[in-house]
Amino acid sequence: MASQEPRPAESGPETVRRVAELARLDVTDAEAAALGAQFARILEQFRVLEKLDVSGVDPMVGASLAGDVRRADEPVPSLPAEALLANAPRRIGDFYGVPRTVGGEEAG
Amino acid sequence: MRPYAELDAGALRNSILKGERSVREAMREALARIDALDPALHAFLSVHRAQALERAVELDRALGAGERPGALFGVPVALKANMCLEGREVNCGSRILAGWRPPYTATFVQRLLDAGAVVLGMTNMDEFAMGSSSENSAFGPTRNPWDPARTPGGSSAGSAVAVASGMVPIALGSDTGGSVRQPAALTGIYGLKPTYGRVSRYGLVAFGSSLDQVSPFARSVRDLETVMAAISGRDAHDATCLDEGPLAPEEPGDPPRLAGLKVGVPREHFGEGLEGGVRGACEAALAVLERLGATLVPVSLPHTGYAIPTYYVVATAEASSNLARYDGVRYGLRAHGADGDGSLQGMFAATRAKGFGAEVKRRILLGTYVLSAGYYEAWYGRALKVRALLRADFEQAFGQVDVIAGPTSPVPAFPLGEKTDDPVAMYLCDVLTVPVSLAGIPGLSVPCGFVEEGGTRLPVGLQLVGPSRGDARVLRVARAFEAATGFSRARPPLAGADGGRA
Repeated sequence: MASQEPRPAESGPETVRRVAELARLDVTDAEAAALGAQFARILEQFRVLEKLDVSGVDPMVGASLAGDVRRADEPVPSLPAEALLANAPRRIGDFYGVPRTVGGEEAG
Repeated sequence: MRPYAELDAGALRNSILKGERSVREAMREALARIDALDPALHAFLSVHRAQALERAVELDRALGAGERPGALFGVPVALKANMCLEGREVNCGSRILAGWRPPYTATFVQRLLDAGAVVLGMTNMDEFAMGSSSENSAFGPTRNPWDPARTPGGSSAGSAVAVASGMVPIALGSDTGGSVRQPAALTGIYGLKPTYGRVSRYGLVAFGSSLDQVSPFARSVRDLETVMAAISGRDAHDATCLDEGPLAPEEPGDPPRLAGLKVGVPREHFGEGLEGGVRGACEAALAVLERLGATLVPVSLPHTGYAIPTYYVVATAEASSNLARYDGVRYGLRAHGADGDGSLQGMFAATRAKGFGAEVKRRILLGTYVLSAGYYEAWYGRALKVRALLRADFEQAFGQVDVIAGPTSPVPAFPLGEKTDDPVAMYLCDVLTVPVSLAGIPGLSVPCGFVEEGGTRLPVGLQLVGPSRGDARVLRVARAFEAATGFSRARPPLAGADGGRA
């Protein structure tokens, strides 16, 4: 129902900060201000989409012509752990090392 | 013996098989040309000099031993830096992936190698393929060989320039919203975005997964057909890949006749914002098709004006999801937050802030916004419906015509720096290519003439669009146009080009 849809052109530095948190991206105050202004302009242009009547139109979620593809449920070899870990920014044994998230001293 | 830079891939292979030059000599010619031209053009991010020469020796040995040469035997190729080749740096034009070496090789790259090609290096690109000028590369822009003060377009800028300047006869790019067709137009070469699913995406770093297609550049239509035959076809590693064999050329034999062919001319592609010289060159090209026997039919694609916002909602939404993987955990850059080593969340946010450039951040945030609770239906949901309307426009037009023709880009190559401060102006570069991407159908940019701007001659591209799975048809029309005109044989003026001569 169109009447339940929020007005989709909210923008500005506050929106940028809220979205940046969702996107796990630090933004500085200067970036938030600049991006907020750009968002306002971009979304204003994009509001042309609101003018179209899309009732009864099925969404096109992709362009694939391949249909539903399945393979046999059988194990197949994957890449060796060593090859994958070779790009790790930090490695602890056969694991990716990250900052400790729950209590205690950090290992490694 | 004809100089290396004048040969397309087919002619270079023939020259090697005739014994005019060895594969090793061909590699030396290619590397000499890169050495002479690339300091000024910056097409390559890395050149695999030693590996290319080693492989050349192997190929020469195999030929000497009587092995059957593949369709791309001895042909040097360049890959956009978002394509996986095991053990070689693939950084996507981004600081966040600087130094990353994939542990596997893309299906389409392996198929090029199986056909006898030699990978010479990785080419420059807008960061994560987001941009239309190469200015979003973290490693500096690529320059247009027709005028180094101008952009070659983007995002597959380096691959386009490597082909246009004769460093390599063929190269691969990726096209999400025009990233191969637009730089092909702006540098005077061919660039084909195939039907979605024609080429496996396994090993292509993802940007917009419902739009991305591996797409070749070449200086002849015959070369495009050879590359497509090599890289296309089913692949168990990509569930969106068509369950079909490799693409075979339609009606072999040159030049194909166009009698009976109906060419749709969409009025919306010749509307406002189209530069006069571009319009003139494209209208002249349509007259050539008519002379070759085709009938021009006016058609309408009524939702064209909605394509840019639809594309930028869909593509940024998909990008925000695809790029969530760059968080400093498994590969690439890792930075620590203001709280020092303390928090995992702080590490994610600091890594991404430091690693991504301005345009990538803008698109991640825009994509996150259109997918966020409360806004999803109004933006993303609505864009998917408009996408269906855009596809229906084409389906309706293809009920009347065999192919559609119009300009690839509304403007020729523009000066570097002209649009960098205005994202909306940059997005408008894609107005004629994104509808084709959204519909998932093939589009081929064909060199079709020149415009004069400030005393400089700049190439213009004609976009030939086919119905779904109509790749071979647009190639056939391009082959007829190529035989009747000389635009694809025109080469840019290049300082230092003699360095590549044998």
